[in-house]
Amino acid sequence: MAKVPVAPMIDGLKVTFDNLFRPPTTIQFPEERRPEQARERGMPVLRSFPDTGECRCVACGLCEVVCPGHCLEVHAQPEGGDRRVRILEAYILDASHCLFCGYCAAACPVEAVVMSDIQDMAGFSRRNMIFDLQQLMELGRRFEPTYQATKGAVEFRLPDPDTESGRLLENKPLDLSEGPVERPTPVAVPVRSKSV
Amino acid sequence: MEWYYPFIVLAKVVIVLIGVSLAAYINVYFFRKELGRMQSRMGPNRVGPEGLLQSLADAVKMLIKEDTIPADSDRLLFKIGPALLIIPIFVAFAVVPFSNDWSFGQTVLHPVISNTNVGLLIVLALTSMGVYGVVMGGWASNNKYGMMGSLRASAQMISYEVTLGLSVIGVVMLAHSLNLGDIVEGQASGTFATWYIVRQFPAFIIFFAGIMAESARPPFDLPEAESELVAGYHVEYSGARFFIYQTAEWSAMLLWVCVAVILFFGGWLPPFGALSFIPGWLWFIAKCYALIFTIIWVGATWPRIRYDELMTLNWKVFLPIGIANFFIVAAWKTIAASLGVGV
Ligand code: SF4
Ligand code: SF4
Repeated sequence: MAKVPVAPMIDGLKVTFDNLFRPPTTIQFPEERRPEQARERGMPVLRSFPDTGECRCVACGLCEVVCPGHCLEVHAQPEGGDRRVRILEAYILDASHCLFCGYCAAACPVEAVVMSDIQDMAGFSRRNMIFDLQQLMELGRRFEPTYQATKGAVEFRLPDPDTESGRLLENKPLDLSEGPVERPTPVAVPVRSKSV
Repeated sequence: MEWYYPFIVLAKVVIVLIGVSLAAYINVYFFRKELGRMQSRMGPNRVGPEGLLQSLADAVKMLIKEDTIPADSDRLLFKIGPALLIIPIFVAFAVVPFSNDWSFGQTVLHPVISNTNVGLLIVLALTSMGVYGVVMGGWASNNKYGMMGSLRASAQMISYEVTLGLSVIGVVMLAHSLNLGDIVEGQASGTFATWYIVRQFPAFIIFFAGIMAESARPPFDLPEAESELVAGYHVEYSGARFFIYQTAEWSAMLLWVCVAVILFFGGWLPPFGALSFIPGWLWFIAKCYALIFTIIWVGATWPRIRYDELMTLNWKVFLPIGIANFFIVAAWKTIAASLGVGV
């Protein structure tokens, strides 16, 4: 006769029955979100000077070069034929294949392109994924207060041993004694409308 | 016989047909919700309030989808497979009494389409027809998964039908009747102590396992084991025919649950005489859903058993218990009769 493990079977029934009265762990995503983490990043945006409204970008093209997704295009126009002076003419981000890696922000010498917190980028057309200079600057203006507030907390650069912060980041010992990090409780937040 | 008698029967047929189909959809919702909560999920909650319309949306989706027939299939068998499964099950509902009699003045209305004296036999006979639909569907698909599924289904259903039939013999002997209504009345005494689940507990366990195996619910869901056979015998079906298979499965479960409530849980009888102000059909529905809850609960907890375990359980455990139960009841009745004691 087959051996039937009766006691574990009944234990299992208890577990499932208890689960029935436990609140589900699901987070109803668009209506309900986890609080954003300091290290979370969204699409890159362009910052501008608040007084003049001009874009901070100096059209050096470094971001275009480092971008692993080849999704940035920096078009600079030489002013008056002088090839040493570059003026930003167009800046195009094809976010459909942006990795949110942050290399562009790390490469930018003037903190013009920065990683924002914009992540709701789903759209019905691929055209919606392509952002031009004006759109990126508008998003940057909206992001500016958050950028100022989280500037220190958000570290997008890779640890660079030549800098103080890089050394700190690299040598920082991992403190595991406090046990696992507690999960923040989900909160309901208003749905952000699709930007631009 | 009054002139309106055929119309009453027709009305009952329509009501039962609609009620059973509706209940099948409610069961699907209930199943998903309960399973979800047992797995710390939400279950359906997007379509309609609390996801109540999810089953309806699925039904509409399945009905308007393309109905494909595999190129090398046996087209005739492929088409009649689903019908062969669902028709016997819906026909079997004709003998199921859903409540005690309603009387309107002089007129008495039996809430059963056909109050036949061999109701239980008809249910057993018709449900054993269902296996042909399953076998045909799996065979005609010309698909190895479908084939395996239908082979498993036929072996499993035929094996468990044996013990299922054996387990109800005790009840039939105690009730002196094969009429489902009479079986319920045979349990009436005011309390639940005379329900056959108390007097026939081993038989109930066998019957319960049998109905789970017949309606292919986990842990007996080998005919459609997703992880091994994709979907088993209906793997090639789509659209309306798949919908018919699904409906048939859920109505089969409902049918078996109704029969279990009638045979073992006193049908529409209240558990205590003091609770008899609640109408009988409410008791019936409540008991049915308690059983459905248990079936889903067990399915959400226990893993699928291995095929040889399935057969061992049936032939080496349930069958001897069933036969022993049969002889014990027979002996008990004979002794009681010779002593002049009623059972
Ligand atoms: S985040 Fe990375 S992939 Fe996206 S634009 Fe910047 S460098 Fe390119
Ligand atoms: S790296 Fe910065 S300054 Fe250079 S082109 Fe990119 S955004 Fe402009």
